[in-house]
Order: sequence, then structure tokens, then C-alpha cells
Amino acid sequence: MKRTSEISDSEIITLIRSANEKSNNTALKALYSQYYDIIKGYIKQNNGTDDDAKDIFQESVVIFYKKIKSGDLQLNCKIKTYIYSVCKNKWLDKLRGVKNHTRILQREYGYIDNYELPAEHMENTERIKSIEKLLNSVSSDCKKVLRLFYYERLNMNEIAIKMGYKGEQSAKNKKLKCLKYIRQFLNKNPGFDISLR
Amino acid sequence: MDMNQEITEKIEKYLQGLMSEEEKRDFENEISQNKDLKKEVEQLSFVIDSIEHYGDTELRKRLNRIHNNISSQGPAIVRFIVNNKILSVAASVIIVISMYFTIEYFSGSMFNSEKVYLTYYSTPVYNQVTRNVTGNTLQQAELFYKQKEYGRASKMFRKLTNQDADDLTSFFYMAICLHETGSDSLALIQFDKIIERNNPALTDDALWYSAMIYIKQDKAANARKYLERLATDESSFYHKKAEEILGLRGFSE
Repeated sequence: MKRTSEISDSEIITLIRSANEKSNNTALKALYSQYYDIIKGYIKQNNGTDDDAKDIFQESVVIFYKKIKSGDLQLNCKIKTYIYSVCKNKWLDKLRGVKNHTRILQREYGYIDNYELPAEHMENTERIKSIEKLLNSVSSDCKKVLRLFYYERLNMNEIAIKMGYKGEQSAKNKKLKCLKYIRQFLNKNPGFDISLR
Repeated sequence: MDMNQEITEKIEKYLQGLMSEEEKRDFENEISQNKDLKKEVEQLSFVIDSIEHYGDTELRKRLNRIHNNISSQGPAIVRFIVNNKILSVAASVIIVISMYFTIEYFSGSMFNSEKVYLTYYSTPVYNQVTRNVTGNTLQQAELFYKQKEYGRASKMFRKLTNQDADDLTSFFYMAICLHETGSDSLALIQFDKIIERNNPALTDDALWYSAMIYIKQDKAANARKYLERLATDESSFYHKKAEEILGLRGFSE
């Protein structure tokens, strides 16, 4: 078995696209073992801490992972170049903001420096709260099925195998049942902020 | 295929940007004329957003586990040695020899952010003595806070801070409410306001609870800055606790 530090770019992409969670994890470990130290070095050389490096690196890996899963990313460069440029942009954004306290509050938190939280920010907070409330009401099986479908972008057959269902149709039925439950829940709780973004 | 499944798949196609321009135009036309369909689209969009949020959280947990494993293997040079067979055998010999000294050297307890947060964090009890404000909003804020309805209490404290920008006690309790409802970034901003003004009654509390939030977020370096201030002030109520946390093995590395 290859060490994660020896896995090539194309193998990382194949492992992320795989429906197998172990393969996904191997890809994530490979990304960590190959690129984290480079990013950490860059962030620390530019006034950041270990925690900043961890945050920025993980945010960029989440973006990369989701783009590969959804097929949105046509990679014309090495993964290292991609991750490095996402991290660099994110960190520069953060640094530029720190130079001006008011600007960082306004941009990152939508916060106006007169001790008042603006309506827009409160709306986002409300939406996150609504999302968390909804997720708490859904069974873990439902959350898993919906995550596998909408986030991991697996097909119904792959979901059926993963969840131990009889077949593709059972997985489809389970997903529909979960969505039906959520619709009923949202209809019973009209206070939820579900407006389109 | 039943009706529900057909509509759901059509909405999914629309929300995931998989429709052709013509299909999209027709579907948007249909949405504008059909309130029920509009509601279905909004609901499914909300579900997808929720799952995205859930998926991000789960992925960050997986990444944190990998991060902790890698961190526990030490810095890059150590990992390089571990990954090289010859060097790792040589290193093993050195490790065994130095183990005795290592055990002697590291006699403290190991830092674990979750454990530290659970051990040291407790929601502050509402302290009426510190208040010199009166009115209905304050009474409601107090009531919601005592009933642990932090979302509603937060809104009331916000009203109070909008009425009086010097009411730092309301900023403090608003920050606690924001933390209790998961809005940690906003809570930290409120605490920073108190720290900036160096209010003698509340600065230590703000430093302590900021440190707690950073510990909860597993951001030891940020927490350390706040704890160091508390640890150097012997008159602080949090002086000993801050020293205890700073003394945990792994925390100051």
C-alpha cells in the first residue's frame, strides 16, 4: 500500500470521486500530508498562527473536495498550485481586513461599528439557526442518505449499497420519505427562514 | 415514477444548474405562476443548504481527526523520518533510549480542547448587582436569560446596547447568549468591545470567556493570548484557572 505522501494528483482526484469513504479519507490524508506544511509555512511567514493555518487549509480542502465531488472543477494545474492559491487568496483577504478593523467587521461579519448588528447578518444567523433546528429534527439515517446524495453526490445504487438497502428503488423511496418528512416539518413550523438565497 | 418524485427531480435539476437555458426559462415561468411549486422549490433549496452545512461540518470533523493524528506525529521532519524505513529504525533506537528522560520530563497532564472546555466553561449566572439600568426590555432580557432562552435574551440585550452604547454589561450577556446559540464569531466581537474599553468589572470575564470560545474551537494559540493576560494578573479571579490551562502539556506548544 502506498504512503499518503506518495499518492499522485490523479489518484487523489479518483479517490475523492470514489463512493468509498475510506478512499475519500485516504485522499484527505494525502492532501494533508503533502500540502499542509507548505501552507502552514506560508501562513506563519505572513503573521499567522498555527490555528490560522489549520483553518485556512481546511477551508481550502473543503472547497476542493466539494468541487471534485460535484464535477465543477476542471483542474488545469497541479493540486498543490490550486490549494496554495486558494489558501493565499483567503489569507490575503483576511490580512487586508485586519488592517482596518471596521472593514473586517463589515465584510466578514456584516457588522457596523456602532454596536448594532445589521439586519442582513441577523438574517444569516437566523437561517443558520433554522438549518440547525431542522437538522436536529431529522433522523440520522435521513441526514446520512441526504448527505450522500446532495453532498457526496452518490447515485442511488451506491447509496443503497452503503446503507444496506435492497436496491436503488429502496434508496429512492427512503430519500423521498425523508424529504416528505422535512416538508411536513417545515409546514408545521412556518417561522423557518427558507427564502431562496 | 410518481408525481412527487418527478417534481423533486425536476427541482433538483433546476437548483443544481443542470437545466438547459430553455428548460430553465420555462421552469421559472412555471414557478412564478404556481405558488405551491414556488414553496416546493424554496423548501428543497433550504434542505440542500442544510445538508451542505451538515456536510461541511462532518468534513471538517474528518479533517480535524486527520490534523490531530498528524500533529501527534510531530513536525514535518519527524514525519519524514517515520516515513523512511532506515531512518525510522535508527530513530526508534534513539527514541527507546530517550524514553526514560522523556517520561520524566513530561509529567503534566495532556491538553484536550474538548475536555478543557467542558471542565472550565460554565454559563455565568445573571448578576443583577452589576446593573444600573431599568425598564421592560431589561426585565425581559433577564427573564429569558434565566430561562436559558438565549436566542430571545440575545435580542433583548441587543436592544439595550442599541439604546446605550456604554451598557457593557448588556454587551457581556449578549456575547454569552450568542455563544450559547452557536454564534461564536459574533460573541468574540462583543467580548473584544469590552476588552478594548478595559472595563475593570468586566474585562477579566470577557478575556476568560473569549479564551473558552477559542478552546472550544480548538484554537489554542488564540486562547493562549487571553489566558496569558489573566495568568499574569495575580488579582484576577481567573488567575489560577488560566495558569492551570496554560500549564497543560500540549497547550503551549
